[in-house]
Amino acid sequence: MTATNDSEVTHLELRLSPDPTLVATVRRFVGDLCARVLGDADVTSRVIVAAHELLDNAARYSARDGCLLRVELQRIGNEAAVVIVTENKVSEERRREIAGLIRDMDASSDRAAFYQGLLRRAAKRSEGSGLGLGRVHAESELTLSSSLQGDIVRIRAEGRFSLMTGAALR
Amino acid sequence: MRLEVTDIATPDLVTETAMDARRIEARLVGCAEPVNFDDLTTYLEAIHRAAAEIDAGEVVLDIRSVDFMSATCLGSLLAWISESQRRSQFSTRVVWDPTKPWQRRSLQNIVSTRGELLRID
Repeated sequence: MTATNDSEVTHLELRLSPDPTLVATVRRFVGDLCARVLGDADVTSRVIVAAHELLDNAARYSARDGCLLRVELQRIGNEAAVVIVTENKVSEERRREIAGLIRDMDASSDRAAFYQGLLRRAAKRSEGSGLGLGRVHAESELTLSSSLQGDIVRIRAEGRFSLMTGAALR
Repeated sequence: MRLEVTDIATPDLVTETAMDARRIEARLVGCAEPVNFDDLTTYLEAIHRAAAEIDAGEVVLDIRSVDFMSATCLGSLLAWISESQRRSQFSTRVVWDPTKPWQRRSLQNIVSTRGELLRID
């Protein structure tokens, strides 16, 4: 694991075994880091939700080996740029599922309406909520993209947010 | 004989349940992690059975002390709200903390899809 703080960009990268029980520990660490770097509770909450859901998906669906999480936090004036990336090996079926969901998100002009459709379907599902990526898209308001390198799927979530006036770099 | 509701007591999530003549109050404390999905689902089903047993008019779900809820557990909560509304046996009121940004965002979306019989205070 490496965590570096340049003058304006803080990035964290870690690789962990595909153990879903580790996700909460990592989420708390990412939340502490974001609060320290950006000093903004609202943006920190968005990053916490996104890091959790992306990493939970990566750990849950990783076909084998481990998964990678990268978080980049950049303060640009009174704004924060956030990038969260996960990489993990997946089955072909899961890869198609991710690509299809992201394609549908991109085609939707209303993040909230799209997510509310997922919520309606989640209420009827007996296994898995199917909400994780939709939650990152709608509640964290991050834009998602995915790419494939061999059998490794890379999901990138990014966005830019206004920081509360007076939010200090700590 | 009144139906017992077994509270959740895990390192991440605990519940406290109070019942009176026609009302049940369920208080959740901690973080609802994916590993808590089965416990939460079982608990909410028990609340539903108890509400039917005492012919409850209202079930209050107090999530003010929940610091984080995973999408997995949100799915369980949604399914419970949906089933409660389908049977129309009691009204559901969710008490939340407006200082917790995740609660504001998640509940806004849930109310948008399940708002008919759901009160958010």
